[in-house]
Amino acid sequence: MTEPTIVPIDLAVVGHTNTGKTSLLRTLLRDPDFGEVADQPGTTRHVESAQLLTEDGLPILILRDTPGLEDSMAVLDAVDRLVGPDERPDGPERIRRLLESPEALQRFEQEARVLATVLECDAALYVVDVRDPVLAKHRDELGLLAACGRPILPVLNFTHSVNGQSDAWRDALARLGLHATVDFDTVAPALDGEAQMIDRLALMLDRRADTLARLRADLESQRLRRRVDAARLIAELLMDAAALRLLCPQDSTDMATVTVSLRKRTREREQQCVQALLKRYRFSRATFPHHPLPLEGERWGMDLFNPQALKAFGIQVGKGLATGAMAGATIDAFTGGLSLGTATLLGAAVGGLWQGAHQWGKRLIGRVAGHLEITVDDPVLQLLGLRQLALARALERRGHAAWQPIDGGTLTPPAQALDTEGEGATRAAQGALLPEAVWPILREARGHPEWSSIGVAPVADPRRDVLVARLAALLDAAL
Amino acid sequence: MTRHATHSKPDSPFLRHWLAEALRLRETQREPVDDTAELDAVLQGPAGLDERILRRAALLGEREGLRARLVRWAASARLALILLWVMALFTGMGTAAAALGAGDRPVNLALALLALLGLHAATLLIWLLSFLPGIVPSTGLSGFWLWLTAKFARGPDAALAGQALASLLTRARAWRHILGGISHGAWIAAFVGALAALLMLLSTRRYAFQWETTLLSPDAFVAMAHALGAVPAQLGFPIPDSAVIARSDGLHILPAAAQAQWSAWLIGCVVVWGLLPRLIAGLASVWVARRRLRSLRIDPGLPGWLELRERLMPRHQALGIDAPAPGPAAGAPWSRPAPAAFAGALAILGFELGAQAEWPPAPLPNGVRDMGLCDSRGDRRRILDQLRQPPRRLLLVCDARQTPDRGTRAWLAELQGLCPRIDMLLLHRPGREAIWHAALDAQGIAATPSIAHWADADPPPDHD
Repeated sequence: MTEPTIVPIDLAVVGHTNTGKTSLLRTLLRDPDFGEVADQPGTTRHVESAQLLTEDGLPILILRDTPGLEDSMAVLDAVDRLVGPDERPDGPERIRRLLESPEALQRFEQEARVLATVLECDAALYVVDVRDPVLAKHRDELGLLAACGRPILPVLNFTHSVNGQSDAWRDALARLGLHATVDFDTVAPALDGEAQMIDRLALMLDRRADTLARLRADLESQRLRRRVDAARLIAELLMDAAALRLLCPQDSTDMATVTVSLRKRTREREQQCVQALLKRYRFSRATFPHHPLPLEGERWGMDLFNPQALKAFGIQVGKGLATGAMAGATIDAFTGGLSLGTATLLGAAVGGLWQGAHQWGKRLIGRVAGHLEITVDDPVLQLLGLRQLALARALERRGHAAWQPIDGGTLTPPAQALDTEGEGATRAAQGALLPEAVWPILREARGHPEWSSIGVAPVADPRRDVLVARLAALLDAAL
Repeated sequence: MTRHATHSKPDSPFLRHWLAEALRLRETQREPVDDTAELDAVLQGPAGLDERILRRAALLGEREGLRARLVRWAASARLALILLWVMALFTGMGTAAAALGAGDRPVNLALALLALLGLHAATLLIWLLSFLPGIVPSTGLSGFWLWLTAKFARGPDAALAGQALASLLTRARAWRHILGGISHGAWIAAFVGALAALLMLLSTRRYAFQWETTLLSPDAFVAMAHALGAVPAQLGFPIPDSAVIARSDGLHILPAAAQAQWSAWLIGCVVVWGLLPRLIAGLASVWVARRRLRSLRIDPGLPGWLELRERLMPRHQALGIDAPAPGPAAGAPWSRPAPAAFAGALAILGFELGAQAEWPPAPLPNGVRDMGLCDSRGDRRRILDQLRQPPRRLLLVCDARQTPDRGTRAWLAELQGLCPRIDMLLLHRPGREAIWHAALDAQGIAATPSIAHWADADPPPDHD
């Protein structure tokens, strides 16, 4: 092997009981199934380790999840008892004596596991639940850990909670000589949270700076790749929905049936995209056995073809266009995609007249020779794109320790909760809507029903691949 | 396991990619296949996302029988191809025979040439035009081949095989060349058949060749015969001389040598203007297609494969545990018998409330001794000292938001060994009240809602 082997950095994750050590590992590993998490003391009762691998599959970082320290005061008493009156042993020596004492196998079995792990590691991450007050026992824990002679980086967890005491903790830690801390909320970590943590570690472990720099670059490239992939998934969804085109006889009851089919196909395709996004970001429904994600069907918050859902995303719709039996679908004369400009216009006109005036619509349709075709409305495409982008953003900012299901409502940009007439254009400028450049692409897709994987007869076409790539690039920029 | 024996040599890269594409389409169109067992085997194998996608597809394709179906489909496609080409061969023979006629009438040279080469020239031109940007390639003969294959390859996943082939080869930009190669092949077969028929008929029958016109001048035929014959002449096919051409108007009697010259000219035209262009186009198509097939790539961004990245290229690995956890934490060793003797009355103690806590939390009733706050090890030593004269009842005040840990429980047990009765008041409820109650129950300590309530409910001293 010419590849220089990396010596992985070994980190112990330590802390008081029930502060979220296993949660930190879940989030860092992006594995919602690692270990066992519960709001209970002593959930983790052994040292469980995992390693992060580079792109080439080489281990680069070992994380060791330890049981919580629960009885540090008694441990310190025991350490004091093991030191004779005339002795002045250093920290690691004191700890070693404790580990060799019989109590290390009995009363202090858990603490002994933690201390033995820290002795062998490069550094320790001390997880703090900032909702807890700073207590003497925490100081004793830190004293015990400091005796192991390894750098300690306090990680402040739950910094997003309302009643957090981050400042009190930072102050208390500084008094103990721990000036470098890092905020890392395991439920909602900052996008650069991992990078910050690595930067702080690099200051403490300057001999391992190269490995840490590599780890940092590797994590960043993974993050960007996840984004690119998410954009690609959404681009495929939009392409499939835009190209969807169902043939339909002119009878109004048949038309309603075809519209139902159109909606069903689109909804299922959206659901498929949601699942794919969850999978890509390593979130699974199995993670939430008691909290099903509210993303299925109606529980998405709002149905795709519900005008309220359009409004919630600030998408401007004509009054008649988005309601009635044909909501979300556009009628298109059977033009084979040749004159879509007029056909779309006509479809809009028909949709507009549909509300409460069936006979008018029927008469107008009657004038159009030949068959009709039904496609997904532009506002619905807009909504599809925006919702998936919002989901991708939410997943990007979600820690793998999060228990609460993603609420469909929280995905709505709050500023656009209510739409008033005539603001759509300014929204697009603010970036709240899909970028303008996607529309020429989607319009071209409308002319190719065979490009839709949920259509009647999908056919592979290199042109579609080119457009999907272009669409994905636009969406990636919008993410 | 028997199926493994049937193909001991490794699959070709093409079959592996085809299988992967078919599985991808199936998984995106229907639902993902359960791959728990296969995934382990894949992760044991060589690294690299592309390789792992292919390996997973190979294993799952084998298990699901997809590979066998693709192989069957390929056999059907070959059969359809042979049938297509055989049909083309016979059609070519038939066309040649029809162009020459039964020999009872002279052969009209212009019409015979049109019958032999007309359709071919038109379709070749369309094929060439399809290389212009924006023009969709026509799929006449190759479409027939696909239809024929579909007829032969019935059964589950038959449509999937064709779809996967098309989508794989379209992505590799080889599909149009393969379809082109198939239709060129059919034309080659047709011309081989036509030439064989021409040679056979011209060898065994007597034909007279002539041209007819009402509109054109005889010179036009001389020019045409020379123009069409020029390239065949390079290959040794004769061109009748101008005098013979001019006299072949059906009104003059020609020598047998002239008819032989005409028949050789006709064969030369079919070879050079029919067979040769198709051979060149067919070989070019096959060459380009082979070259592109050699560079088949997995695009990991495609739907279906994109979701596999995290699973096929895991970015972390479990290392297991250091040693099994000890049995459930035993509370029993901590409880000690309460002392029989006690002094004083009631006392209250704040436990781990933090330095900022308000103490006492409420005005203390008369006769309640305030033992202060207990946070640090120093505090604990002080409390233990004070408890040498224990109160009759001790109220511990704790913060319900905290987690009662082993240290807390050990301390409670220690206090229980010194005080006859301990009660607990939880501040900041609910917090983690449930966990506290579980811990208190295990320790045999009762919770009280408030200091006043606790002070009032003063039970008579125990009768021990």
